[in-house]
Amino acid sequence: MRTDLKVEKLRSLAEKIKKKTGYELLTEYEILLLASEEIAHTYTYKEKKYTE
Amino acid sequence: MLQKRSRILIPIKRKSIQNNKMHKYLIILPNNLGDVITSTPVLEGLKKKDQTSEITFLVENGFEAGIERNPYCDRLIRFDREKTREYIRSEWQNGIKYLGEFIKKLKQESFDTIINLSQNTYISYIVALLKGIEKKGMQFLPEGNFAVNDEWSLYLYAVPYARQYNCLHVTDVYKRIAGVQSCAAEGKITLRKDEIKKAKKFIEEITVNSTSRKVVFQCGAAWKVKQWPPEYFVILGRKLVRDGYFILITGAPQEFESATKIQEGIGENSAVTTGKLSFRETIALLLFTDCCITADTALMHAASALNRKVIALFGPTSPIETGPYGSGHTVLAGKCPDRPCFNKNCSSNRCLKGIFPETVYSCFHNRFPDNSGCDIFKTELSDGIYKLIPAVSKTEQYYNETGSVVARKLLEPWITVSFDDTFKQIRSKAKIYTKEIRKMEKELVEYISDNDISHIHQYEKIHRELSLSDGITVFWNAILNLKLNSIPVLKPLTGIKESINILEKTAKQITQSVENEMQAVSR
Repeated sequence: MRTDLKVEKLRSLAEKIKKKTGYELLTEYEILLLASEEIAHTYTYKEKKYTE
Repeated sequence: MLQKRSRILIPIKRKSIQNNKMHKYLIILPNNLGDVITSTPVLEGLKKKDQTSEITFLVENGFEAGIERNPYCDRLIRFDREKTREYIRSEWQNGIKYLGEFIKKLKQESFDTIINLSQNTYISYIVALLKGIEKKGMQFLPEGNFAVNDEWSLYLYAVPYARQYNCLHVTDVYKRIAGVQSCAAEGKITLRKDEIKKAKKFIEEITVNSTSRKVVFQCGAAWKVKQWPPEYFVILGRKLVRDGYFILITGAPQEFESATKIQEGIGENSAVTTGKLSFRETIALLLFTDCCITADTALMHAASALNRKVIALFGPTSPIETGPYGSGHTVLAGKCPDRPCFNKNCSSNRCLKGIFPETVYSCFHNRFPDNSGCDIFKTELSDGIYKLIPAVSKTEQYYNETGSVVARKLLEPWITVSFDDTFKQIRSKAKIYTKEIRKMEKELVEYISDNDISHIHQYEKIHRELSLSDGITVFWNAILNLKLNSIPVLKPLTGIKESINILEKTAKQITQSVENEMQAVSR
């Protein structure tokens, strides 16, 4: 599976978790998954190449 | 792959833990270098407040240069975000395990106070998973929303909405978040002997005349629009070389080309250090120089933390928020009606282009010309507050003098404010604003009483109308919205009751911030 598709899978899981907000408490694992999904889409300083 | 990971927790100076009552702090500021350096006075403040406390600092790999060997930091925890990200991207289940293990180790620490100074979303999630008796800054709640629950973090988050109503440097806000505002600490950089030795050797090798005085030009900046034009550096460099100075042009490896062009433009008695020294060795270089001329950069913060003379050139960002923290530095700020715009895509860059090399040259020699086309300030740190003191006439401040004091009075009601026309206008606005939020409060109270949804609609209508306000109301509204958004989203009735409390408290806070002075004057 291509990397972007793998991350896409993670993203869709995160979306499902976000839909639960307001209805039930999220578990620690769900919050960990949200953190991972967020990190997956971050950039490094070098990648920003001083333009952001 | 997972077996190869490097150690996550790297103790720098571990104390023997004998006293179980030792207060354990975790300060989180993962990036960037400049931000990490501006937070160092917080560590000093906490340590001076309680010498038995243990202070741990969480930083991302690559940004530890700003905090390494800090005498007030007991432990440095490095988070390898890039590696974690690559694990998640390549096989996310393993990536989650890797991140989970990192968080588990942090959790085992059982910190007493967690101070999250960062605004990174991923950190807010991590903070949610940590144990901490007290948590400051933004965190994610298991109910599903982000929350800021301490007053000074709310202030920090409200600043970008109404910058003209803030007169506090980010370090002064950080100190207030940590509760160490009375500590007069400035930034701190502690260098290793080998870093100083390498910088000294580098200078000795490149300077023909080792007795010549040296000046650092930091040619780059994190955003392109924060960079001072290279041709201006060339003009300034030639003038200083004629005066007998040697110019050292520093920058990140990516700025090598730009640094080389500046060096070629200046010619003799100049050299490029870019790519030849690490960031900390570049900081060490400052010890052997007279002055650092720089835009709003990490090196600027490092130079001021080392008490070196700084001439800072500000364009789209605000020197009142992130200027060189300390006394006696010079800040030149380009004029532009939109400043500080924080616009990374500005095409004109008129602010920095309006700071002419001739003006910087005069300031270098302590001559501050009027009508130079830019504003010139001297920095001052007095009574624990960083200030920009105009060095020339007709200087425009970055903030509304009276309004910013009223905004601060929300949290520090004892400070005094001038009873001028602006204050009278703000007081009128406060009356209108608090009246509106009392109406919102009334609608919610009535909804609880009769369960009629029209009250919620009316509440939302007033709330929407408030968002169209201007002036200091934007600041008050930002604070109010942050507070309301921080209420856990489950249990609607509890949420409504909490909203009523917040509206009530905010109205009182605002009324108090404009009434104290009036009472003082009438007395």
